[in-house]
Parts: sequence; C-alpha cells; structure tokens
Amino acid sequence: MAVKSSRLRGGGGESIVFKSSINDLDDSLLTEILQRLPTTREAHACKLVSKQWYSLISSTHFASRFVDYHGKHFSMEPKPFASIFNCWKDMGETKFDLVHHIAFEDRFFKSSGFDLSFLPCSRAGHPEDTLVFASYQDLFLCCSLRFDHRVYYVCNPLTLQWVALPPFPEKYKVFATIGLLCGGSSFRVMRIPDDQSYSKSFTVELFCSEINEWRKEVVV
Amino acid sequence: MSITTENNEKMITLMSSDGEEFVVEEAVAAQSQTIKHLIEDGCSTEGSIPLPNVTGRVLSEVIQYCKKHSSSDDKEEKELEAWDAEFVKAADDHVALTDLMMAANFLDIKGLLDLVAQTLANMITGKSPEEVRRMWNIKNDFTPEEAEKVRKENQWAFE
Repeated sequence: MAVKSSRLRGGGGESIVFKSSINDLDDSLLTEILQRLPTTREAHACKLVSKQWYSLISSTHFASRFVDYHGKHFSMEPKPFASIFNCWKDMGETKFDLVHHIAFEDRFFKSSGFDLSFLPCSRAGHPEDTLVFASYQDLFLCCSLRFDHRVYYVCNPLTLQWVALPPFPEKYKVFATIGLLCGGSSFRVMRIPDDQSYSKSFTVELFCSEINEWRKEVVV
Repeated sequence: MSITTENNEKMITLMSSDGEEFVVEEAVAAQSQTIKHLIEDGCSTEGSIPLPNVTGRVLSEVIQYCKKHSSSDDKEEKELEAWDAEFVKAADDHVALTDLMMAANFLDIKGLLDLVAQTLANMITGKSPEEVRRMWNIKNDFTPEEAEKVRKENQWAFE
C-alpha cells in the first residue's frame, strides 16, 4: 500500500493544513504502532529505520510493552505454569517427556506460542527432531536428534534468535548431562559425557559464548 | 448549551482548532473519554467544547467513527470490523493517519487508537527498513558504519 507522504498532500485548492507524518509521533505513539508488529523479528528489523526507532525498539520498555500486548491478544487463558515437553517417536508412537516448567510470571510465558521450528535443524512437521535440554531465563539449549545434524543450539524462542555451537570435543560421546548458565550478555554450556565410571579420568566440556569455543577439562 | 433533538437527545457542540463547529449527540461525543470527562465536569454548559489539538477535517473523521460506534451494539461485531476497515481506508485518503492517531490519543478513544495503530503496523509488516523509510520520508540518520553495526547485532532478523 503506497502511502502518500503528508508533506506531499494538502494541495488541491483547499486551505493548506499542516499534516503530520510518522516523524511527528512521540515515542509513546510510535510504541503503540510498533508493538503491534506480528513478530519480534519484524520489530527488530525496524531498528535499522532510524536512530529514534533503534533506541525505542532496543529499550526494555518496548520489550515489555510488546510482550504484554501479544500476551493479551494472542495467548490463551493464563495458566499457573508452562510446561515444555520433549517429543519423540518410539516404535511409531509419539511420546512426551516433561523437561521444564516455566513460572507463569516469566515473560516468556506471555508470548504467543512456543515453537522451535525457527531453528535450522527443524524440519516442518517434525517437532520430535529437536530436544530441549536446559533452559535459563529466556534462553533454551536445544539439540537436534537427527544423526546427520547433531548440533547444539542456544536460542531465544521469544525473539527467535539462535546460535549454533561449534562441535563439542568428545564427538563420539553423544550422551551427556548438560547445563546452561547465563550472565550479562554471555552464556556458558557445561557438558559432562555419560559413562565415565570405567575411566580413570573425568572429562568436563565447557563452552563460553565470549570466545565461542569449547574447552575440555580432564580431571585425573 | 443545551439543544435537544426530537428524540430528546442532548446535543453537544465541538469546536475544532480551526474554528469549525460540529453539533453531535452527547452519546456520540462521549465515545471520547476526554470529552466525557469534560461533560461530567460541567465544561460543556458554556457554549461549545474547544478541541485545540484537532483540526476540523480530522474531527469530522473522528465523529464519523464515534457515530458508528455509539449506534452499534456488541452483536454486530463482525459488521463493525468490516466497517472499521472501510473507514480507515477512506480516512487515509482525507487525512494523515498519524493525525487521526494523535486525535484518538488526545480524545482518548481507545477503539480508534487501536484501529489506526494496527493499520500503520500492517503497513510496516513485510517491508524492509529502506521501504519503511521511503514510505514515510523517514531520514536515515545512521552512518554506513553504524548501520552495519545494527545490522550485525540483529543479523537474525534480516535473514
């Protein structure tokens, strides 16, 4: 839809009345508009429009308005908890496994839906491809179960942001206990491969997002 | 000022910033919370209610909206939605939607504010930042380096 700029209008023989444009809106009215964008992705892309838009969309005030708006208009009745289930197929039967509870107060829960299909390892119609291993605040640690694509992802289902972690050092030890920890703008993933009881040493793998590398610690 | 119609409906006169007068039923004017409060506080007894922030052209659109919404009940929700869509499309030809939005905000007409904000949001949806700027003559005040930085920070949103 082409919008005539207000500056180009106002002719046509009538008395010229000043017409506003989107540039004349203050932050509160601009927020009214931008919080109605359908996805956070759309909102984030708009940061590049101008500095006013950038600082507005980057603010925590905007984030909470966006989440509140979408929560009010698109979510179901509030429930005390959100539960996240891993879903897998066993002998043709779909099974579920409870992994995480998220408290209702959590902002994430107020979003319009939980979906990991934005991850590159997801195939349409195969939610069982991706497992959630851990969560910390609004971040999730997921892993693809496809044998040709065993990669860990840390993602934010609310903003649809994700990063793929590089391959972990003990690449043959696919079974492991794994945890996620966040602080400031960085996160850490700790991975302890299973079945170490027969070995004389104990291996822990640690990933730091600042250096984007896995470190392997061996305790003898 | 108290004019009444045959239906015994109380009338209110609204005066726009450019001096245009609109005589409307009180129930129509009261769709605006701001005007409703002014009436309740007795500010309408002396002649008309001046609205210094709203031009006549914009006010006439606002009144159209209020008339429709004061005469429709909840049962006609579907019909009202369709009417709203047509209304905002037509209004876009006569006034700047941003003016309509500022008026809805000042007059505190929530339904109209929602309608216009959603319409403007729909115009942005699916457009690149460049297209959004062009659509509304927004000045790109980023240096190329700054733009690159923002793009990098939000890479995922541009893929």
